[in-house]
Amino acid sequence: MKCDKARMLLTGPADAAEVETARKHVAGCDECRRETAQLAADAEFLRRDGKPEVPSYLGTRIMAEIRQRRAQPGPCFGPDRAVARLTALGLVAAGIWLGVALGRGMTGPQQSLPERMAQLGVDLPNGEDK
Amino acid sequence: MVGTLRPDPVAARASDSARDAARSRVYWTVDQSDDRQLAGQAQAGDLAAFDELVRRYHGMIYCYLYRTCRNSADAEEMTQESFVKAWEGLKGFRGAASFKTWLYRIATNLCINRLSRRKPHDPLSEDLPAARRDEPEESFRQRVRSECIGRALAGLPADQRSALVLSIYEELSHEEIAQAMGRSSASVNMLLYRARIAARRSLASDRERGLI
Repeated sequence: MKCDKARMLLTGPADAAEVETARKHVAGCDECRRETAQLAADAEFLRRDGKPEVPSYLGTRIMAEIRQRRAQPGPCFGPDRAVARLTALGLVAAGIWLGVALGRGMTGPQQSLPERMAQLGVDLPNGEDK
Repeated sequence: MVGTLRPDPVAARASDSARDAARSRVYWTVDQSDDRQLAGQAQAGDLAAFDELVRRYHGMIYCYLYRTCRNSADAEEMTQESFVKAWEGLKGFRGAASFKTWLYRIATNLCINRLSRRKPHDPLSEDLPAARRDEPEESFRQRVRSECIGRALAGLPADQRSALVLSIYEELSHEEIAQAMGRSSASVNMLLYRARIAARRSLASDRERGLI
């Protein structure tokens, strides 16, 4: 097993058999032992960083923003917004489909020129109606 | 229904070194089934239920975002945006992951997007910070330590930084980090390993310069 893989396996969740192989590797590799010990010490050092102070007003500010947006007229805001968006999308799609269908209805079915001329009773010059 | 907050027994059993760090922190756990119930009520439009979820988790999300971006104004703004997005997207919460992990995912996406868009930040000063007048030595040391930690984290790509903060400070399991980041557990393992190696280099350089 390579050093990098062994070190990674020992710092995260892994298959028990792989961890055992990694442990054996590290036990016999001075550099890996030093490196894994240093990684653990560094993690401990990072952990000692103080906890950030949470602004006391933040929760109130968040809820005020949500209430304000919810009260605004116009686009629906809240858990139903996704449903509203889908409904709106569906309505737009239905409108486009209806428009296309009506447009086709007005112009009639697609016909070739000779068919259309024959339907209108117009005689075509010789050779053109074949 | 409002859940009860209680000290986390797992934290109380932490190792000696972790216990020292735990003295300055307060651990709380909240019954997750209770969270789901509140989320269900909020999905039905109950703002009071969502208010309770905000009360429970805004501090946790703020700390996570602050540690990731090291800027209080950005952290505040992104915390607010995370909860607004959570409220908007409540219908998408199916309860497969815990509500807490779901919130972390929203915050992580926001944070990584923002950090990726940001111009490469000005590198933090390499100089030893000067002690302020009448500043107690312990306070000065803590400030220097915090700067070194900030520099170690700031040097990481956004995804590695998020993964490391979720692991070290938020104490999420690899599985939870994978859910919060929308990645596989193996990919999170790799991210964390690379983050730790990069942080080690930065801290080693600070050690060589006698900062820590």
